[in-house]
Amino acid sequence: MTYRRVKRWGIGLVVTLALVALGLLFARQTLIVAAAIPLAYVLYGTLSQAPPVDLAVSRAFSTPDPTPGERVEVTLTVENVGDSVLTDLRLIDGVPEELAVPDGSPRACLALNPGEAATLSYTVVAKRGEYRFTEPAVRVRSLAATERVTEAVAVAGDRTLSCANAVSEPPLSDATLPRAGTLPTDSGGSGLEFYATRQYQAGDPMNRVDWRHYAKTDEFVTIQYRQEQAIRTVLVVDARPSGRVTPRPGYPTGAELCAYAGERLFDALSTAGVATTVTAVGVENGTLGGLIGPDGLPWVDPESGGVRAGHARELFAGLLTLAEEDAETAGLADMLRGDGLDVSAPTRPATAESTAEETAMAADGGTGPTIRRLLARLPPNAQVVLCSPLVDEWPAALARALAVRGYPLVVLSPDVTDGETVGHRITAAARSSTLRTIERTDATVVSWDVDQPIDYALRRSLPHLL
Amino acid sequence: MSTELDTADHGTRLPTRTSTVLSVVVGLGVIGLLCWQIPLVVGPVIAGSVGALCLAASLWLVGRDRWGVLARAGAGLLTLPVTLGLFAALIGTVLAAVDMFLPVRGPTTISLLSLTLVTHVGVVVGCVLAVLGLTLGVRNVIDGQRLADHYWLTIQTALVPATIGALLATGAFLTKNTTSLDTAIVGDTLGWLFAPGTGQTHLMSSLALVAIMLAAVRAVVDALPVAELLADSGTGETEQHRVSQLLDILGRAALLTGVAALIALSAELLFPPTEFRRAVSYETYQLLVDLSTIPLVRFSAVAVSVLCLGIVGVVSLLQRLAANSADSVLQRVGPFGAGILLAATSLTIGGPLLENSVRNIGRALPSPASSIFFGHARELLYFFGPPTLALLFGALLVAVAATMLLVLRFAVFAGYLSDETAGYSLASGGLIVAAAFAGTIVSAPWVLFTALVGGLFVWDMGRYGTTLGKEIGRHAPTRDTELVHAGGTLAVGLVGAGSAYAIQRLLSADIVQDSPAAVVALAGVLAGIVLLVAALR
Repeated sequence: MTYRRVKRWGIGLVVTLALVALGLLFARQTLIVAAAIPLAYVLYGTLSQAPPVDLAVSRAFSTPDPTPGERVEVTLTVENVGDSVLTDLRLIDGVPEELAVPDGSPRACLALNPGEAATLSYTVVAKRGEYRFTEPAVRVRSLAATERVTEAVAVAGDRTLSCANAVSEPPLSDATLPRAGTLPTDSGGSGLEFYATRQYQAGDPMNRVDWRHYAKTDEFVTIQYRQEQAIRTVLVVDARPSGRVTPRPGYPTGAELCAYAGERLFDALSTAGVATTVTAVGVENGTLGGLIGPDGLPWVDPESGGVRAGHARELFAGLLTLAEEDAETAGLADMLRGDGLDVSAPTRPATAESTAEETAMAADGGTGPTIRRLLARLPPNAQVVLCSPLVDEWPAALARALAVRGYPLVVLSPDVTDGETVGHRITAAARSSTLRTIERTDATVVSWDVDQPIDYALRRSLPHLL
Repeated sequence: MSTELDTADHGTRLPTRTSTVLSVVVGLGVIGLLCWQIPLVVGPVIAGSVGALCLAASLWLVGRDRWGVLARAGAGLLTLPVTLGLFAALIGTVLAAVDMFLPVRGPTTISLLSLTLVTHVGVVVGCVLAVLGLTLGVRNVIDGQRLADHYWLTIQTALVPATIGALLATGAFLTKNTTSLDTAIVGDTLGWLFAPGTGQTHLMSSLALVAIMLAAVRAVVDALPVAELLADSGTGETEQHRVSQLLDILGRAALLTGVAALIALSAELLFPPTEFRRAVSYETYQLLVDLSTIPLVRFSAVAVSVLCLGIVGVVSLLQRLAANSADSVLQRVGPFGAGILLAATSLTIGGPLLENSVRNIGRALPSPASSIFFGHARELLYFFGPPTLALLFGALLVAVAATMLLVLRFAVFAGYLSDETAGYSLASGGLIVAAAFAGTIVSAPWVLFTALVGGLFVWDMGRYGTTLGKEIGRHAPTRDTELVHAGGTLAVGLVGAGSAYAIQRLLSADIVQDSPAAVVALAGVLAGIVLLVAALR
């Protein structure tokens, strides 16, 4: 607790002396008598004392376990449990610096009678991790504001806001496929669905011979069924610097949201028995430890064995950390505040140039180096899931390259262009154009409105993947 | 977010709305009350308030980032109405007070007039300061850095009209022309420059022109990339060395010529033409006259100097443009542009305005002062010409504005005005000064008491609102607390005013005999209370 005396009414003494002097100079009694007024203020300031502070404070979060980007309302209740009237009570709640406050204010100025309570509400935007709220700071002043007491008060109720990535139940109930883990192909072999017949060859299984045909024609033919292959899903997370943008300060970046969505998808697909490979683009060498291969792509493969899940978690954690660090160091919040996204000025110019080069090459029909490396690593029977905020043309270039090579593509895209400014609208229009371009390549696009829980987006994308 | 009660809204220091509204309403109410009770000050207060509002607007413009060029130019232009308003307020007060005491009946009237002048001027100055302070306090636009920026901006604005006015005035002095036409002055100045009269030597001016020309040529050689343009001489000498040699020669020549000009000046001042003619032979004297009055030489020197200085100016501007953004260069140029506009306005319409003003002021003065005033005014107008005089007066007004800003800056620097609440400190100080002087004019004590309570209320609520805005910000609701605080402040003021009124009634009820001793005793009682309060603190 700190106590301080504020000299507000020194002016009163000066005015008193000035009035007395002027009164003597002009021989006006009224002026001398009027000196009683500033003296009254000086006495008021001298005698005014700050009351003792006795408060009961409690805090409550509207959502204890929010998802990244979700708004959480924080309610602080302050009750004057002492016997003194608090005419000037100023309160600042201990909001962690990482959390943005888009609505309301964590600061309040209250006047409380004994036994009276007041409520302070504001909203924070949840970010991945655990954030501990500190004790609110309180300052009480006397009525004349010449004495003030400052202290931190203990708070009951919620203290920590946790925003975790752990998946409790993947939304599989809406999946409508007859069998999990397989994909019918357009070639004949063993399977369930009739495909074609051919001349019998020595060694064909007897149970595949069409005996009815033999009874009719005395010729041996073998029935072929539509071959089913195990699905290989390659999950590509777009962590490029151009995607590390936010619509507003304090919100998760597009890359962060993609990493989060990718992790949720990975868990859902793994639970469903789909062999899933995880990779990411836009990750610089040296940032993810030993996960980055010689071609510059991190690649966590199902054939890696029992440690696959651990490596995937490590990759997603690394991507989230990278996206958060880059957002802080580049000062994206200042750059983007009120101006929408600035996709023309990514945080790392060198990567931006290579991205532009890749996009330009892809637009001309060729493929950039990153896309070529991806294509080189993709298994022939893979379906690709791309998590990207679609803030530039690179995802469209990838979609065209995959379509040409016959890879099915599903795109899950968090919408980070929501906003009211001209910049937001322009970027939203560009993103819509990219969405349509990707859809024209016969890819499936799921746009995730970040104000909605990600489960909605997962329910719309998983049927295409299972 | 820090848990310390630091600034709520980073980058802004706006006071809360309720306190701002209360302070402005009470402040304006006090000013209105004083104007109502002292009708003589209404006009001057209005004129001064216009100037105060212009000063507040110009301070706001100086701090703007958007439309920086226009904002700085606008701030420069607004400095003229600032001092015009203040001068109008002061002169209006003097004239109105003088008018009250005409005709003067004796020394007693003069001393009364002096006291009346001082008190009325005090009321006007206090009210104008209050308007300025309230306007500044609303957006909290005054701080040390902004005052310093505005000061330099005002100096830059004054530079152009002052330079042109000085040149024209110098021309008037040199030609000793007594016509009232500026074109004649300019023509005579140019005539003196290029083709002075052949009745005497003009060695000083010729040598000075040559020295300036040599210095200008040196400056242009230094500024231009001459070394890059020179071809290799084939003697092993570098181009840069050759340029350095040339610069050296030009510099020395300019210096020597300048020294020679000074010697010639001494000679021409010490020796009148007739003595000079006797000191040297007639042929030598005539040669010197012819050499120093050749129009082609003088014209060439002036033309080359102007051309070279122009080239140096253009090169300097291009260098600055290349090193800085166009916007920052334009921002620096903005105040000079405002100065050019002021100069052009003064030269075109300033003359008739000045003549009108002189006529009106002269008529308002009492007869002996009026004739003296008109006499001096006519002489100045005939000697310099109305446009030149208007130009010089305009530059003076802008310079006075710069001085006012310097005084404010010093007050903030020395701590007399708080950097955070300078506006409300000025406002309350102005109201208290106005109230104190009004107490010597108005007989009803309630006017003084009300104005004092209002001034102290503005002081308190202004500081309270500023601190609250800094700690809590404008987004949180604070009205209830502010109203409670305002109620307390007002209640104390009423108690104080009531006590003062009771004491006043006591004194006027003959319970205590009205005498100097009573006044001293009263002062002693107050001193005792002050010491008691000091002890309590």
